[in-house]
Amino acid sequence: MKEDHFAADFIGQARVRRQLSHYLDIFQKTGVFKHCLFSAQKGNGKTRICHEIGKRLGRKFYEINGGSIKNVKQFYDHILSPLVIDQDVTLMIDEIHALDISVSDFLLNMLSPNDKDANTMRYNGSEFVIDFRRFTFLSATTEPHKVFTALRSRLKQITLSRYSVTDLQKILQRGAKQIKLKKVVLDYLSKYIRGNARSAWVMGREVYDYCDLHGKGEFDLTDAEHLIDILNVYEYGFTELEVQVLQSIAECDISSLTKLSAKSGFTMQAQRDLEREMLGMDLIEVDGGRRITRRGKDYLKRNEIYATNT
Amino acid sequence: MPRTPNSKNKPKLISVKLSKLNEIFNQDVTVLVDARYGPFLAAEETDLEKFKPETAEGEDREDEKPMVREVKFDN
Repeated sequence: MKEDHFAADFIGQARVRRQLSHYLDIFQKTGVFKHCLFSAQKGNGKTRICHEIGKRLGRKFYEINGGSIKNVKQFYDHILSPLVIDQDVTLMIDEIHALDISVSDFLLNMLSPNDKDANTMRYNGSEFVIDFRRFTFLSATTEPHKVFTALRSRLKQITLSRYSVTDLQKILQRGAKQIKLKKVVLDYLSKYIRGNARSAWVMGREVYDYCDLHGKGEFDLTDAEHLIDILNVYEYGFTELEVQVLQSIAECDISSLTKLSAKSGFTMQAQRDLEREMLGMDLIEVDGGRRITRRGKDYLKRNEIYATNT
Repeated sequence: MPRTPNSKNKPKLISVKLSKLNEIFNQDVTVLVDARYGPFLAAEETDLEKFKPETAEGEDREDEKPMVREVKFDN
């Protein structure tokens, strides 16, 4: 049985942990760690897992947002030349789907797998070697289908799984530190988190801060109800903003994005982002226009939100 | 859409280059990212005026630095 290098730090993601532990075993033997692309919804631990890998590789670790690299010249002048060439480094590009196509193209040659585990590159008259024993490339995205296909094929694609309710409750408990939460309290608080690891941890931290503020060593169901009331959060962790969007959809019934944007005052992109989770939870449906579902109507009713059409 | 909202009321709204974000977050300031306007930031500190972009939107940003963060680990 292989060692689980991540057991002490990670809750859930057992399959991913097993795979990465295997790659770490290979790294310990060869000095080469696979170049990876992590995909998951936001808040599910992509960046966290990259940091955990970086910690274990024991090199300098640089993190860059893909959208901020505009062209190859920038990439070479500000990243490769000063931070990567002839250095032991792990480079992480977050939101790699937003990377400029010319930079993606450049990375194809840089990361091309071969027997030597190294590539000789030329740029603007300079020649340099990218040695995989000294350089590891990690990347993350919420939208893997938007990553340049050829680049995607150079990377080991690892998709993080969704967290079970039990795992989310363990993460919530971790956020609450020494405040031990009973099952009934965990069940209640779970209704108000967004179904991802970050949201669960943040809720745990809210519990901890509440207890710290009020000098409490215990946190019961009454405290939980009080906290949720204070936090002004709705079921599934929705904010006032999202509830307003759902309300607008309920009121307009079948409505175009343009109409909804005009009504809510948000740009179409912002509106689209706000709607994404509601779609996933089957609260609305998009079929030409937008329409609230039966489930969506029940949600509004449960949360005592009234729309003229419900 | 206006580049800088024309309100004289606080919080003061300014637009900021992405590459300057690190400089802002390293200070004791309150930063509001307004989702409706995307790249615009609002802050109560008037001296953040110095972070105003030198180039207007659409101009050549070749010299703009990408946002790079070195992550330090506790071992």
